[in-house]
Amino acid sequence: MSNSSQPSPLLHVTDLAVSIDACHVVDRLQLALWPGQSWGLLGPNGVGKTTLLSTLAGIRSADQGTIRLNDQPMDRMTRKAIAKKLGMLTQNTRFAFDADCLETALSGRHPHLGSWSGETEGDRMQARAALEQLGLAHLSARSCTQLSGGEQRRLALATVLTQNPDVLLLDEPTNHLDPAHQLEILNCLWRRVKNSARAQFMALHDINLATCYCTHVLMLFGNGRWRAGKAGELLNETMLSELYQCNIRVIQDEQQTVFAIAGPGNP
Amino acid sequence: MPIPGAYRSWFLLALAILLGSSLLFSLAFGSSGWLWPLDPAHHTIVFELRWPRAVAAAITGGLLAIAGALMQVLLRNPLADPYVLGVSGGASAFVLTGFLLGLAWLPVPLLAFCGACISMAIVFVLGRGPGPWSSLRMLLTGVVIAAGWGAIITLLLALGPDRSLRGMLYWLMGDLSYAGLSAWWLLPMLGVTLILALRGRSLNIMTAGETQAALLGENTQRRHLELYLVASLLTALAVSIAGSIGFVGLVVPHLVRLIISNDHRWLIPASALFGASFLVLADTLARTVLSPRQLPVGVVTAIIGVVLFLILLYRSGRHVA
Repeated sequence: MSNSSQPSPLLHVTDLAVSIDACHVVDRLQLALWPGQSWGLLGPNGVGKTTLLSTLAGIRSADQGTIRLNDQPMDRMTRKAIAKKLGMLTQNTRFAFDADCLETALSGRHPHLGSWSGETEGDRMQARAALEQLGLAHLSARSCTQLSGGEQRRLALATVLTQNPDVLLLDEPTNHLDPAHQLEILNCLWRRVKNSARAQFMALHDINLATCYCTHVLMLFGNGRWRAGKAGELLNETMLSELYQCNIRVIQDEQQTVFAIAGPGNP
Repeated sequence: MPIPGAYRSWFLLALAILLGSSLLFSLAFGSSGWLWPLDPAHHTIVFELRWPRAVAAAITGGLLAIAGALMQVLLRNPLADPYVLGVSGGASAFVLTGFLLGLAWLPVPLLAFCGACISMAIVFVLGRGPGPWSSLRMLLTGVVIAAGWGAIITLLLALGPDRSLRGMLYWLMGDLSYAGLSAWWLLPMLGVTLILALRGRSLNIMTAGETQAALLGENTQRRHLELYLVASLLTALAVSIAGSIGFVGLVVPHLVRLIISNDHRWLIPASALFGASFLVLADTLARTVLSPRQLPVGVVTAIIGVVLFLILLYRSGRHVA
């Protein structure tokens, strides 16, 4: 049993094995997400980042191993209990039926409400605050099917922010977004993790965003091989070149470190 | 553009008034012309013929509209409908087969429920298949199944005794001429509507898709099974009352969506009320338009439904492209 003097990680993964058909995504993965940590999940295309995220969210079963959420085994929790603590932004959000943006964001409150009860004014305020944070307040009465790709992405984020989970899994949160909105969203997520002791775990394609917004990274090399650790220790030329199977150079100035693809002139 | 949320309860009230006036209209108007219901001279016609039939029409309409709305959630497709997907056909075919095999001692709704469940299972398994959702595959599966049941019913009618033929035709097209229900049946109907409306938030979440619904805390497998059983049961009850009446489950929720948005907490009660009024009016039309001859009400709903279905299909095709 957990007690308050000994804190436990928000999400604790032991000996996890995940595979798609015969292809291994991770073998014997050990992972602990502590409050205040922002994890980046890096790996080449098709290595199974989305599959791993779905497994961590409990909507896909693992071959082996256990996942504990707030010190409770996840496979023994109801979906509702999980959704109160853990949220996930999927890669593509499609809205089947028309609803306005406020109603869509409000669906994030679903796990927190009783099955037979309605939303309160407090729930609505949370949804409005999330829309405001993501710069969608002026669209709250607009239908969610009439949004641009970037606006849809931000609406999906507003929904998970309204859900307000301790552990937030994000599958490429910056998809479809221009640089300004990428920064806005990552800053917003970063503040959330730092100021209110949450944890997040996000699949990213942009290494340079990972250097700015991740305290830790998990790298997936394929065939079940993985490395996890502090971002500062793992994000270097050797590791990244091995990870992506191409030459990656580091460029440094006084302000920051940038990783770039080495062109043909730089073997 | 749907009406603002604050006006939704007024819209429900308007629909309730519509249902009341439709019932009154169907009592007063018929093949014997206008009759004032409270005149004792007309008591027999009004209260023993028109009233039970109007109640049966209201209940059948409500059942079909709700069944349609639930199937649309289950299959995540606004074109789903008990008749189009062959669920009503399955229920009818089972009831008829049961009769011919001498199983008439079984309750009709039970036979209909088995048929509806089998039909739904076929559409659900084959029409979904692996991979992403395809409206086209689902509709094709449903339409083919419906045609198959239609053929079986025709065969059964051809094999059956001649004198019962006219009475049995309604399993194919839906007819309220032989139907009559006591007004007490409106109470369980009200109960079902209320329960589903209160669980409307879960229905809303289910329309976002299986993954999203699971992430927001719904036990999707259990919810699917519940939806599947309830939609089959409501269809089966409707078929037991009046045979397979088409397109009510498609037309009614669609029109209601346009006015009241897709929030199922409002959509379900509004569909039930509007579906009930729609079928009461359609049946009044069916028994008066060519009077003294009476048309099966399924003919009237099909004429309206087919046109709207084609418009919807055309518009959804453009959206996909």
